[in-house]
Amino acid sequence: MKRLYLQTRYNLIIALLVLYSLLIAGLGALGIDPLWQGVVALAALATGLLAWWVMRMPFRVINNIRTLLGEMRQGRYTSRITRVPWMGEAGHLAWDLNEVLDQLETFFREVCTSFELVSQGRFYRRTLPQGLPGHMARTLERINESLEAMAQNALYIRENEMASQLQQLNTSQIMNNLTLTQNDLMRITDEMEKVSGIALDTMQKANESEHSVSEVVSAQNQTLQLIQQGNETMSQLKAMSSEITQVLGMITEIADKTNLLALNASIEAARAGEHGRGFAVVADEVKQLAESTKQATEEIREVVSTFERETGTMLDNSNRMMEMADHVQQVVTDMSRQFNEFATQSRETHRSVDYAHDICFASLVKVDHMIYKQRAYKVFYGGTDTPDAEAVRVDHHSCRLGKWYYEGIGKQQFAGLSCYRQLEGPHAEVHEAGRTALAYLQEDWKQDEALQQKILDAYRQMEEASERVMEVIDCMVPEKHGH
Amino acid sequence: MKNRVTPTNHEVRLEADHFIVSKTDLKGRITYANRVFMHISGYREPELLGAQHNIIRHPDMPRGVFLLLWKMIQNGEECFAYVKNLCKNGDYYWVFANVTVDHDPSGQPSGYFSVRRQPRQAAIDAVTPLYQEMLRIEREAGPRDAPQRSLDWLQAQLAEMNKDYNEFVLSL
Repeated sequence: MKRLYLQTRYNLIIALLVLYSLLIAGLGALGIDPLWQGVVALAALATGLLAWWVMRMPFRVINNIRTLLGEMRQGRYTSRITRVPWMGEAGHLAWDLNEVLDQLETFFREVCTSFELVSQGRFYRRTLPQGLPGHMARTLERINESLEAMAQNALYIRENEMASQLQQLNTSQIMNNLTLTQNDLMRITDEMEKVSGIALDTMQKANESEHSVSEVVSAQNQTLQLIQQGNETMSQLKAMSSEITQVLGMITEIADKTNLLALNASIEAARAGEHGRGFAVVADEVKQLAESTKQATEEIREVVSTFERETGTMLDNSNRMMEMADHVQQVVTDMSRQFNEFATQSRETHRSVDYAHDICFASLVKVDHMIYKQRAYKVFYGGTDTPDAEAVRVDHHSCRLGKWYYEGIGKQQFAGLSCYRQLEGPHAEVHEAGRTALAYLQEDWKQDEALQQKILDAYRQMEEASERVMEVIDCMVPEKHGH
Repeated sequence: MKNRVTPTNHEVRLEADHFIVSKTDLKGRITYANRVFMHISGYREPELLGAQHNIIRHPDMPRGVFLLLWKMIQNGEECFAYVKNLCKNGDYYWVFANVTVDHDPSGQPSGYFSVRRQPRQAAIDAVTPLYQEMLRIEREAGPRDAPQRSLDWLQAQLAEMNKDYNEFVLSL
């Protein structure tokens, strides 16, 4: 360490003084007692020593001050000057410097510690201006205002981050849920399609059965009619045979009377003798004729009686058949009624199943559409070079809804409806808005408020168009089913 | 050097626009004390330099507080505390202390720096019952376990409030 200018000069003056005294002592040696010469020389040495000793401490302090100022110039405020017993100008200087250093060090530590805690995300610490003078205290107060603002800001950021993370979680969760729902709906729709097929089959079979049963019924009716007719004929036959028997009785009676007449005639002829011979022959002939008539009548009676008996049996049988046919007709009529009900129900079932199937399908279409939107939101968090982004970039012909609309079942089953035609416009708008948002997201939007507004607008537009898409899908099924 | 000062009930007050500054080495021996320190405590510089900082420790202060203080500053953290100090003549004065670590130019810890400001009366009123409870615990625990036991109690209180120590002290 270079010595101080002042100290060097002071030491030089002391040295010269001592030298001067020694010189005087030496020169005066001629006329002066040698003892005094020694005393003068010693006194000069002692004075010099004293002068050096007295100023040694102030110079040490000044040296220390200089060292300290050197450290301060390098931005270090930790050292102090201690053991300063002599409280003159140098001492005060040293203490003033110490206390300025106390203030400076305190000031910097306050700033440093507060910001260190802030950097660790802890905002409770403020600087303490108390005890510091003027400008330093005011600076710390200003810093506290900034810290307060930073704390508020951090709180706000943390809130935002939290909301954003929750939102992100929600978005990915919604996506998962939607995908699950989509799978479920696809399975349900498939199953419904099968059920619908079965219901259709059942309905057709029921219709066929209904037809067959009605044929059976009409055949049964005809049979019954025929049996009734047969029955009537039998009755008529039976009546006729008793009429014949009656006539046969009459014939027998006539034959008996004829026989009696012939007998009488033969008696009369005998009485007439010869004259009556010819007549007797005739009477005999008549008698024989009456006999043959009677014989023939008896034979006919037997035949008629057999006929009557058999007709009676046939009539009995016919009556039984009629009863049975009657019973069968009742059964068949019941069956026919049941078949009718069955056919009606199966038509109803088929219609309901078809309606349910369409509702499921419409839901599936809506979920497909929701997934598209969710992807558009995921792109915001996940970035514009993800599979989600790719899915958002497709136009309204190539997404699942688009395929359904332009190629699939949608076109097959709904194309004739007015709702179907209304769907195309808003659906195209949704895709347009999604792609617009994506394009903006690829730019440096974080620095550009106008761009942020445009992104928000695009998402909003997507939601508005999507709402119309949903409405139109909702009205499609009722329209198809005439509800 | 053991403290043989008998405490009195006389309070000395630190003025609002003054603060006490002192520095110690890593073992707690005083290496610097400012003039406010000497004035309020009644000690002269030669008596302070090289002495343990607990030369001004008041018997009303629980040892658990100093245990925590040492743990924190040895861990590189700053530490705040409301402290009742003892003057050379037995009087006492309350301070709001802040202790931080001193580093040498190579960045190694070289000592501690303490600033004591005028405390708020409300804060003193708040810590006094806490300190009394800690002292009671320390008396029960016996000299060996005393500081740790009272510190455990203090930390349980802090855990209940869900605050760390400095945050709690600053909120008083």
